[in-house]
Amino acid sequence: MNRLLFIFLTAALLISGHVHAEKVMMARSYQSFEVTLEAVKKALESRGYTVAHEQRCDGGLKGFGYETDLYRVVFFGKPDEVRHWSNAHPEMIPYLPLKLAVIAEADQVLVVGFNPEELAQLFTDKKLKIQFSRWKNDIESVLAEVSQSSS
Amino acid sequence: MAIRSLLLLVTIIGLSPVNLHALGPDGQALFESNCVVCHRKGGEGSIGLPLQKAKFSALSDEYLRNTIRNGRPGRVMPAFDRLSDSQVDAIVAYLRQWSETTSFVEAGVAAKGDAGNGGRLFTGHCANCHGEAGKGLGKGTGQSYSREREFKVIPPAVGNSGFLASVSDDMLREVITNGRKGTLMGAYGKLGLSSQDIDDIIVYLRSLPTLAQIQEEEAYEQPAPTIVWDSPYDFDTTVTNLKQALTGSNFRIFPDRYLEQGLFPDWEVNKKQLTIRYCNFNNLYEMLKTEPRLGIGLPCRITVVEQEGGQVQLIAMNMALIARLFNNEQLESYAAQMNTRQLEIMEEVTF
Repeated sequence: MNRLLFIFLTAALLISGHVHAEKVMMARSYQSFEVTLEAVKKALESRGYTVAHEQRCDGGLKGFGYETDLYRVVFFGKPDEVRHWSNAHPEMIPYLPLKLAVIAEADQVLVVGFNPEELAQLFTDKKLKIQFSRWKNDIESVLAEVSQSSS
Repeated sequence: MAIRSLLLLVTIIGLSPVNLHALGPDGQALFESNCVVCHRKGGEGSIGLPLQKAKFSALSDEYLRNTIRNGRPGRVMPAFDRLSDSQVDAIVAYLRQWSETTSFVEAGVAAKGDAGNGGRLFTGHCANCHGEAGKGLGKGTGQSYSREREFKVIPPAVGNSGFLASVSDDMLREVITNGRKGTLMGAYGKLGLSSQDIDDIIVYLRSLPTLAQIQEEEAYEQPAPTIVWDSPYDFDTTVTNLKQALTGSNFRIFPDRYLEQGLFPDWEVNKKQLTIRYCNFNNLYEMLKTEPRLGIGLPCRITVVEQEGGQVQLIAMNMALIARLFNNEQLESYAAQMNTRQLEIMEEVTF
């Protein structure tokens, strides 16, 4: 029975519109900005990530007289991973914690992150390469969840 | 047991690659999972250009296929090289159905002419809208509601290697001769250019750098992920110097933030990894107009770190790498300027 289930699930993945990870990974949400932002944070937390900080980008721009829609950057990570990799590879520090940008486009919202695997070719550490793949998979599934929950 | 085995066999045969292929990929599903995030469901455009249904009759299926495959190096549209041929075909078929058009018919006639004359004609008739050597004009390429846009669609970068690798001489000849309705592109066959002039322009465009040359250059130039600078001073002095240098360079400094802040309880946070976040909002606005997704590289920050042996370092993101991720050559020039300023600041801090 398990074998059948496995075959069906594999086939379903092959047939469905599989999300291909590009250098910049994105999802479009048709829910409100606030609902999308919460959905992003919830999806991250359900995968064991801690949301460390939420940076407002639109506030400063408006303060300088520019027109801009709502714009936030969500910083997140697994505490032990951030500590480990910032010590083992200090050159990773500017990329930690990980980030997702949540950008309003009128009544829709874009959620954007860069594909961590793009950094893999710049490092030789095999364990770090595995880590990049895990982060990529997690970000991909967070984006898929946010996208599906809004469609 | 025999029935279960038979059922398993039937299932395996039923879902074999051959039969999956016969079923064919779902073009609409592929369009929605790969294209909609930038072009939107109705093709209204966003990060990517609007997909205007009426324009599709001027495009061949081969052009659409090549465009998906090659993208536009440096012009935001990525190359979807992970899609299979059948998946690309399915997207093109869906676009035909969606736009209710048929493919432009290629005659297969290659242009012959004088690239020198074509270059002169291009500069005189085309560069005003398409940019010098067809590099394009304006900031960014798509349309986003996060920023102002003067035109819904900007004239394409016709010298772009991805465009040239996708378009046929027939399509170029047709558009230059008869123009494109609903755009600023005029019918130059009726505006003083002869058939030979038009072929000369096409030959000139074909003399520009090819996709293979651009890809080779990009593979050779791989930016380092990070800029790291040793400080001769102790941690606190380095932090003070950094803030002074940033203020002196007209940056606004945000409140201090430790790298681990928000991840660990306050008393467990490593206080020797301090991130100084800063911004020049005028520069930021210009950069967001060029690339609205730049937030994943924001805010600008330099982290001061004291290593176990006591060495203090300044560590910053290499913006050249971030710009490369976005496939946006306009952003690359901003990134180069930002890196230069970052290096000047680091030099000042550690002098």
